[in-house]
Amino acid sequence: MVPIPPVPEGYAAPQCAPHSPNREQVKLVYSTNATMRTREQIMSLFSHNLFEARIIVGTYGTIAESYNLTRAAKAVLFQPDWLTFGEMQAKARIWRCGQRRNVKIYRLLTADSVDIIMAERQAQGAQFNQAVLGIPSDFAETDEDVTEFSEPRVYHEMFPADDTDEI
Amino acid sequence: MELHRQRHPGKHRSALNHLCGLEEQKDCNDNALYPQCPCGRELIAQHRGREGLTFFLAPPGNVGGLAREIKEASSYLVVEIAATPPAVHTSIESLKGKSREEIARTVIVCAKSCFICYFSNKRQYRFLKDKPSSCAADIPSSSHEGANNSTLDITLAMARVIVDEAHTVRDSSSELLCLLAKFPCPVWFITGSATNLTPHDILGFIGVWEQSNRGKYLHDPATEGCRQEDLKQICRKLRKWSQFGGEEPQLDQCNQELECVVQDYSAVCRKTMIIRTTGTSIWGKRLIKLPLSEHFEVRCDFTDGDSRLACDKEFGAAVEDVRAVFNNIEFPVGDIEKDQYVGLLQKSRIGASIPLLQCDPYFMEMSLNAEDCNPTEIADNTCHFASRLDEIVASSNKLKWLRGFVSELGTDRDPDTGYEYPEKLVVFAAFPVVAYVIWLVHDSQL
Repeated sequence: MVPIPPVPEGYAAPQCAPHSPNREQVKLVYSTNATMRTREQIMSLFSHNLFEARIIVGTYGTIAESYNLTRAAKAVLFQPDWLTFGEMQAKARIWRCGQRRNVKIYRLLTADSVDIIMAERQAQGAQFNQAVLGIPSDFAETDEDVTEFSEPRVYHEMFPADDTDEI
Repeated sequence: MELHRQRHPGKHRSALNHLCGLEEQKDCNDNALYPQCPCGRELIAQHRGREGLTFFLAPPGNVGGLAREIKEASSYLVVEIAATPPAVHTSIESLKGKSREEIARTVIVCAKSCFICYFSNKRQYRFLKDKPSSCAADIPSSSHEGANNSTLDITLAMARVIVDEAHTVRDSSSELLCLLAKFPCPVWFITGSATNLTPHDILGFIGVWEQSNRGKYLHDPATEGCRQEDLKQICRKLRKWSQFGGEEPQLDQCNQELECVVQDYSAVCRKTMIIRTTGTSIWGKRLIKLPLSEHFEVRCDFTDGDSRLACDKEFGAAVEDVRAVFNNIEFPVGDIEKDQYVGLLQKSRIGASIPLLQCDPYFMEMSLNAEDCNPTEIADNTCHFASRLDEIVASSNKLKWLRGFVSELGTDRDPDTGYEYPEKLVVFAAFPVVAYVIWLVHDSQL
């Protein structure tokens, strides 16, 4: 892991009063503006430089997978994603191995809009995932969630040969 | 016993260690980490030591990180990053004339889009000489026909193609799969998110292995660990469930069917999903204790301003008041097909406070000025959004909330060093207007 650079000389630690980001500190990661290399640079700045790349704005498609953004402890999901795993992956950018602070995730929904349909569809998908993979529908974690591995189930009975119906 | 690991081996590292077969696997504790997928391990073992080139396809932003991870895990490998289609070409060209052993130690890491662009013979890359792909027509880049029509003449020995984040492949007719079907080597799919939303997704995903699709592939992507007959049966059941699942009289029967189907599908997933992506859970079991996470759902109202914008003729007929759209829906929401959803989204995104068409492709260099819009027909119809950003911001409750939220960001403390630094934030939004709002916060506090 790249070590965090020391605090620059003469840097005054910000006070707890609101500290608004300047334009250079807001990094946009969209498919049209950020090449592969640019994205890596932005992500590196975000993770390893405490004072730059303060806010990252991107789509589910561009930043919801593959990145470790644990430098942030807050995330805003400005609109829902069609896919359950889309949002779960997005949340997992900041709530993952290496995160040591409590995380807050804000999900914005507009009433009477397509947002609600998307959220309902997601809930339906979450139930399905829960049924198939045993993945919880949300990421709420309790102490009980950290458990010992159970014994692998016996799967040789999982393929009953009696169903031969054709559709 | 609680299992705590400071450092997770990482899916790529584990995969590489297994599949290259060039070095003894050192981390035998993997067996303890992944006890639920022994069949995946057997599956990998079948292809160990196969000589030839390895392609690793990854999301664009992770190509560099992945290459570093592979190098760190397996220093004997030559890892090349191909950031553009011409770079893929250069990498392949540089391997010609090398010994099989040298080729076998080479891994080309590239983005899926580069891979598709290069091998499906897109127009802009046809100038490259001696490409392995060729096709008769000059295919536009947006078409899948390039992938379908092109022929591949790969003279290099290919060991395998590994597709990371394979859940992004939603359908066996996708462009990537059309291409991969022509590769004379095994194709590996790595994912931790095999089910996305509905049984339809699953049908799409395991459709790759369906009997009816097998004729398309030079190399059978199915594996010994996953019997075709089993998959065929599951596909039948899933189809039946998706066909009758929405009808009331069939509901009880379908619930039973579903129970049976998910059981079977779980078995397939657990057999074929090689490694879970995140280190946080396997089959719902937490591996590492993470800090608390709080989830807040912020409900915003649809405002009169939204409505005014939606009904404004200037925005064109494509955008309607979301409530009008809802009233005109003639089908139950649960039965909407994907295309209908997209149409609904396009029509009613304004109701979610932000116009859908205010999205990045229409703005050059991420400028939010109307003058900088891409000179396309679509942009002509939508660029007036840019000149009315203030009106949109003023009428959108979501944006108002975001503005307040950003202005209240404070400071954070690095747990390692104790340094205090401005609090960081990640925003998932499809609209650059969000950045505009954040800039407004800054400007208002100058």
